[in-house]
Amino acid sequence: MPQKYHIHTKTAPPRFHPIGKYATVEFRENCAGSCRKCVKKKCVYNIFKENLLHMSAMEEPEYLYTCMSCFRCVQECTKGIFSRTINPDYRTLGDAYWRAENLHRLWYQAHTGKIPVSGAGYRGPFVGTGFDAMWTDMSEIVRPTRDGIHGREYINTCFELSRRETRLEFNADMSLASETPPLLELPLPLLFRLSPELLINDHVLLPMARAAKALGTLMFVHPQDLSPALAPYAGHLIPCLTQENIAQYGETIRNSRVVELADAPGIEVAMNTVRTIHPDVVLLVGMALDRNAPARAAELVHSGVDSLHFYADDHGNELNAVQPRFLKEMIREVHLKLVAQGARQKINLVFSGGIAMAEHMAKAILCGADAVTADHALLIALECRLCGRCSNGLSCPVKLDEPLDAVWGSDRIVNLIAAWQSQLIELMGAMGIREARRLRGEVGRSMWFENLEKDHFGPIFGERKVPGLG
Amino acid sequence: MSQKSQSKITVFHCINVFGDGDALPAVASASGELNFIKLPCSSMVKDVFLMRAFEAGADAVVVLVCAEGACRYVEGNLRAKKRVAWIKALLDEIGMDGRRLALFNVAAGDARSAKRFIQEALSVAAALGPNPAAARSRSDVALV
Repeated sequence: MPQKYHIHTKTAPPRFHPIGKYATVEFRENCAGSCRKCVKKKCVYNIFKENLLHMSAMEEPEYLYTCMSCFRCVQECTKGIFSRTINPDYRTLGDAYWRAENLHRLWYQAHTGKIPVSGAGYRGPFVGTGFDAMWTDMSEIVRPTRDGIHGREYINTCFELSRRETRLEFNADMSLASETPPLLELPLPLLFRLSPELLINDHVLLPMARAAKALGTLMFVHPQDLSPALAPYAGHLIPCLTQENIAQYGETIRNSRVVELADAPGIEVAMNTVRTIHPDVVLLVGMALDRNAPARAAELVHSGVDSLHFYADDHGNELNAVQPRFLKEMIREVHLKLVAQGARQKINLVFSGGIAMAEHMAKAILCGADAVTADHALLIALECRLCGRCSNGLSCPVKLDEPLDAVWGSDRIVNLIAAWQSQLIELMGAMGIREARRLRGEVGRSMWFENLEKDHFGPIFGERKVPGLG
Repeated sequence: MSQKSQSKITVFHCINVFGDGDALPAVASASGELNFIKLPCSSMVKDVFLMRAFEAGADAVVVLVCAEGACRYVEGNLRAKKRVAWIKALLDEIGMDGRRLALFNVAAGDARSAKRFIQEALSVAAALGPNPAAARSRSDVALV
């Protein structure tokens, strides 16, 4: 029996006190003092002791709290000295897309490797912008004995990065006459990439490369960021080259299984040069996800490229547009353009930008992507708070600009991806789909807010005058 | 030994004075290095925070609290005032000068007054010179 793909997780606690969601306001002067019923000692999460220990260890004063909001201290304190509040730092954590609760969940997943449970039901809005305006069909979840958790090990999450021959030719003796391109299959529809907007240094690159190797996936890296420390992971790195620097990085190309070339006029010549240096290399072409992307993809599909890699911005929006469309609409457009040409099976599409949660990976594949990349999420797994200080040349509050334990960092990233893979399998199990490749472009297994609204309210109120949810 | 060119000020403020959408008082970076710390209520400005700020090298510490009678937790600002007074006395006692620590009442979102108070603290810090505790810890490091 073939070995099953399984990600081994190991608890990796954070190095720094995380910014908690809740905090308590405490009127200490009213405390009875050495009370036998002291709620601080009774806290089931040991929060008061942990916060005290943090205060004694902090270098700069910082107000961080990890109250779990169980209200026990508020209710049981005999003097009523506690009030619960939202931690002020939590309120300013992240931004409109990378929301504080996303960061919290990513930290939790990186710490434990488990799927986060939100507790007392879903209390949020039922629709939002971007991927939140898309729901997946989970109808098969009603048959857990047949399709649910027990079938997990038979769900395949592989995808191919190499090109496919759509038609095979045989000789008279039935031997294969057509030349088959090299095959590269990865176990997860997820690749790694460094966020160009955030910190890039050896200290964060090493754990990421290590995690990529442990997971069997690949990481995009700029050749100027390559260092001797990354040499053992060369087989799991994708150097992102340009036409101008191919000659300079000949040795890197020879050591790589996959190479990405930035799209530019005359890319076919550059592709031939790379294949001359390393004939079995899998070639990707990287391009901006803008309004020209679908047409350019249709042009490149017959050029012999293995996969196309589209870059959206870090919020998953189209580039170079006044009113940018979101990733899901852009993926649909590129995918459908290739479907209309009958060329979709020849090539693989990888999309970068705005992948913040496990469900984004599944939803992007449903829209038509073969794979996506994790970028900010990897740094968040290493405790990044997206404060943006590094972009302004300031020091990092969680010391990612200083040497860190690569094993610990790699464990955190592996944990995060293990939790994402679990969620992908959970979702596919609930959909009754056993192949990630089968999920690609299956929009029929999803519902889109815009379509539902049009179908249900369109006949009554007519067309929506203002797009979006406003 | 190189002299510190600008003063370092740590500002503790209640979230109800400057909320999520409010702009924090901007003081020219040439005048001093500012470190803002948000608190859910000014009453959470514990002694350990104030002392830690000085230990971390702050030349002055400013606590911005809600106007009297405007505290969301009724008496949080009054409690902060008492704690600041106690730490001021403690600073005087250990020879660090209690004037390095100051508390001001600010109306919600009044960045202009806050800026004036911070500049006031900067001039006090400049007059008093560098934080002796920070200088001491620096020399300790040098000895090690």
